[in-house]
Amino acid sequence: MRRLALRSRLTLTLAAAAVVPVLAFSLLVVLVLDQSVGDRQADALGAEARLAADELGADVDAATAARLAGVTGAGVTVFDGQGRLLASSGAGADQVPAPAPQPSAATGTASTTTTTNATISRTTSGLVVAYASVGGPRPLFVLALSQPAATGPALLAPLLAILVATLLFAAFLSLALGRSLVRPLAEVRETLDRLQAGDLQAQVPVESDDELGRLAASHNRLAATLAGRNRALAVVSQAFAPLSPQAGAGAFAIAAERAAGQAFGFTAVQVRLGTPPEATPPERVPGEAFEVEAPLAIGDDVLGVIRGTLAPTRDWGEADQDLLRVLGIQLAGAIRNAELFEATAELAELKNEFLRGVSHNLQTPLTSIRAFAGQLADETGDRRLGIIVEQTERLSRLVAQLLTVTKIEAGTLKPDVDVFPMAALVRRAWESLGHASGELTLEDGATNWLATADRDWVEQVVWALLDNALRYGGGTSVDVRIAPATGPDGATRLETTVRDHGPGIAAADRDRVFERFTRLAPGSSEGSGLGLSVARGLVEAMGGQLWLAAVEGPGAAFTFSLPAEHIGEP
Amino acid sequence: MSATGPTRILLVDDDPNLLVFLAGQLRSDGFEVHTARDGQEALRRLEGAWPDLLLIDLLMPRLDGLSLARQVKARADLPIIVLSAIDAGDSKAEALEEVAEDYITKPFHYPELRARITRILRRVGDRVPSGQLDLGGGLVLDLQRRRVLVDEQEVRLTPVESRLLYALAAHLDTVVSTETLLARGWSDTEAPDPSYVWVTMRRLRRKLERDPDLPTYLETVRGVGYRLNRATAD
Repeated sequence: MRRLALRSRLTLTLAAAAVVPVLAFSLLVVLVLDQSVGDRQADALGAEARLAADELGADVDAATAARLAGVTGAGVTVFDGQGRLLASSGAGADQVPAPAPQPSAATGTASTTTTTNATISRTTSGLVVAYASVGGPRPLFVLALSQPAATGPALLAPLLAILVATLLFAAFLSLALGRSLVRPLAEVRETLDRLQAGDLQAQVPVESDDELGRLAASHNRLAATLAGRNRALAVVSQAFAPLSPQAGAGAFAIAAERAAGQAFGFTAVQVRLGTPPEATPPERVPGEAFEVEAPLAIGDDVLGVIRGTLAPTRDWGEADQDLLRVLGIQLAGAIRNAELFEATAELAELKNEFLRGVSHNLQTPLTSIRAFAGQLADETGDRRLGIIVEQTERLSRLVAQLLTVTKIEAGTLKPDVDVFPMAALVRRAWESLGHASGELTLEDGATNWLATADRDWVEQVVWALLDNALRYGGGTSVDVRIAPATGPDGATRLETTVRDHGPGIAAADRDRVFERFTRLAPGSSEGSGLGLSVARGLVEAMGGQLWLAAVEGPGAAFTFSLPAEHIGEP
Repeated sequence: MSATGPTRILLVDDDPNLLVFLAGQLRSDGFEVHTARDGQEALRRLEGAWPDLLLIDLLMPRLDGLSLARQVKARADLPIIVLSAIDAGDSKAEALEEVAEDYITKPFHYPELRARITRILRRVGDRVPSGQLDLGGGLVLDLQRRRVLVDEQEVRLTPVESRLLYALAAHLDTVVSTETLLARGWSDTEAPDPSYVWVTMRRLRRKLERDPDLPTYLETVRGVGYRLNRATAD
């Protein structure tokens, strides 16, 4: 069952606390008032009865009784000395019991008291009767005046009013008190909401030293602890953010020490690498500085340990230990990464060194061969020397391709952007291929445009595409078309399409042509299988694209795009 | 270019064949050529006489081309062209940018090498302060490192862009003809066209000017060429 709201419970409690004593008090008042009203009535009635009795003569009859009833306003009943009814008059007078010699034993009386003047009886039928005797100890007559017993019905209304007023007052008090009681609680709730929403600065004002004040204080402590832990978490999670794996394991260890010192308030902190000895967990002696530690763990591997010293007054909870463990795991990961990076960088440097060496050792003799053959060709005009020059150039381009591949892989390609007309470059590349085997058809639709790209790279790309077209196009003619095209980004690029008229590329192979070491002619060992993949890498590094274009009829066509500028005006 | 006599070139390469070939070609083009087989021999020769230009192979026994170039530059601002099987974009080539005026990738066409030699010698004739050149208004040229600083932000220049700026900076506040700029920028290119200069200047303005459409530094002088101005004091 749901419990009532705090405020309702408070109201009920107050109402109960107010109503019960008010009721009890009212009852008491009613009783006491009743008693005194009864007493006063009895006294008055008694005095009246005495006076009336004194007026009685020796002869009593109904007329006398009626006259007395008229004078006193009460019922009048007269008995003789033996208790026999002589006369009666007035309301209820006939119900008055006869006086008894022993008044308490009189039948039909509830209680009997004796005043100096008269004997008072209360009948069970609600009458008050005052008996006054005439004529000494042996009375001749007994005169009884009777009245209905006076009660305090008039008191009930004011009492009810008081009760209602009390209830209202209780309700008002509970509202007012309830507000003062509930307000701090509402503040606590509000602050907790803010705390939950992440505002760790939210504080409940501590205004008193009671339960509410202590609640506020302990909430504030909780918030402070949470904020501290949050800060620690932030420090731990950011510990290695500024470092790249190049920094090396040592730098990570130092960063971890600094972060741990900052996050946990260690007075001393140390990262120890290497398999830690089977250490007993550090024991804490109250009042002394103590040590905590966490392993630098990657899975089951432990690379070392991080150990910190704390001031004696510091608390160290489960959560702190968990956070330190996280730092340890993070550090272990960072160190492992740094080690791997170092190894990779060493390998990469070795590979680059090797390739540079190979390249140098191949290119140097090729340079001499090419130079002398060229010189001789110029001097003698021998066609065979021209072939030597061409083939030397082809060979050194292939060597250069190998170097380029590694750079594309490493992402270290940076183009030296120049401006040049595409058509002239295509023509030059065609000439450098030796055009004995085919014919070039060049359609330049971009005479007012200059490509803005790395001239040497574009030469390599065009050379690779033309070489490809000649090799797979069956030595027939090659068509090159250059045209500006505006892309979806609004920038105009030059699109150069190189098309052969060979068998084309089977649909199944279309995706493979740009993969490295792919040679589509079965059993062919010609070419490096690098040309298209290198070309694509170069074009993309210059901000363009290279793709296999759709063609009508037989043959294959490759298109690449390059950034370009309109010649415009000076 | 030295004022008297032919231009002297010191050629450093460990490949004797290339040495013989290149020395022969350069001599037949009217240069005075000395050769060295490695870096240490080159340094010894430098002690005897300073050439106008050095041609250095990057990979050599004993003292490699990069170290040699550094040692030379530490002593004199001699123009250096590096011959290398490594091309731009390589990490070593980047380090080279600091010390060498130009590089040429092996194998090379001799005419291209000759064009580059001529271009560099011309540029040396231009005599631009080797450090930074503050044009005011937040623009600083740092041509040796192929960059400019625009409001302290580094903007990299391409080789061609820095060559054009070099020629313009050498004649600050003076008009430089489009033909001159074409010769400085594209001397190793067959049939260069003035449009190369137009487009490159437009690209330079985008890098340097606050409003490329209303240039203040790179001014077009109609029918003649271009002029590099200092920032107007306003």
